[in-house]
Amino acid sequence: MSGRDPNRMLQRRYLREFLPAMLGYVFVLPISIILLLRVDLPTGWKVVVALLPVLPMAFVVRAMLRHMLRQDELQQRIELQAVAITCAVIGLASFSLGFLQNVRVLPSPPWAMLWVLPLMIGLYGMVRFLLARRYR
Amino acid sequence: MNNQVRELRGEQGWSQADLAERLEVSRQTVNAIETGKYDPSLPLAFKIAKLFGRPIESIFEPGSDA
Repeated sequence: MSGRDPNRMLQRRYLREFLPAMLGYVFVLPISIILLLRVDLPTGWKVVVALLPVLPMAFVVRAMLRHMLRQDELQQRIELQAVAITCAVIGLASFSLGFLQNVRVLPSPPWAMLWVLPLMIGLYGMVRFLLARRYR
Repeated sequence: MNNQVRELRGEQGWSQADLAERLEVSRQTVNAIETGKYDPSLPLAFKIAKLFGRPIESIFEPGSDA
């Protein structure tokens, strides 16, 4: 055989798409924060600058989705289970927090929503790792 | 479901990685099929049968839960 491991090739392709997008996010985020803190921007520009980090993060999500779709059937099964468990946990947790914030038992800081996506990605990674171990 | 994939692979002298490359799946998937942790889809089972040049029912047989 040629020694071209399909799994390794997929991983490389994923990293080629994921890493530039993540580097873009790491580069854009501080610029956005500095501009918002130091420059008195009109509301329209404030919206644009505040949403700037979303663009590279959308490419991160795109890289993850494309990677999932390129994988073989067992890997896709693991992905599906990981995504389903992550959505259930994060969905129920944010639903519960929303109820508690609604009755003012918990504070409602404006940055709370910012943590949903990083928590989803982190939890998904952990769940995926644990599920994959079952098939080793 | 029980299968003869490991034995057939051994007869060919292929590693799990070799078989994975021929089937265009990950090595983990080949290992999961061989150890019975994962039952392949019908298209993948047919691909395995075609690769080994055998009828599908001579490679895969229902387990005790079927």
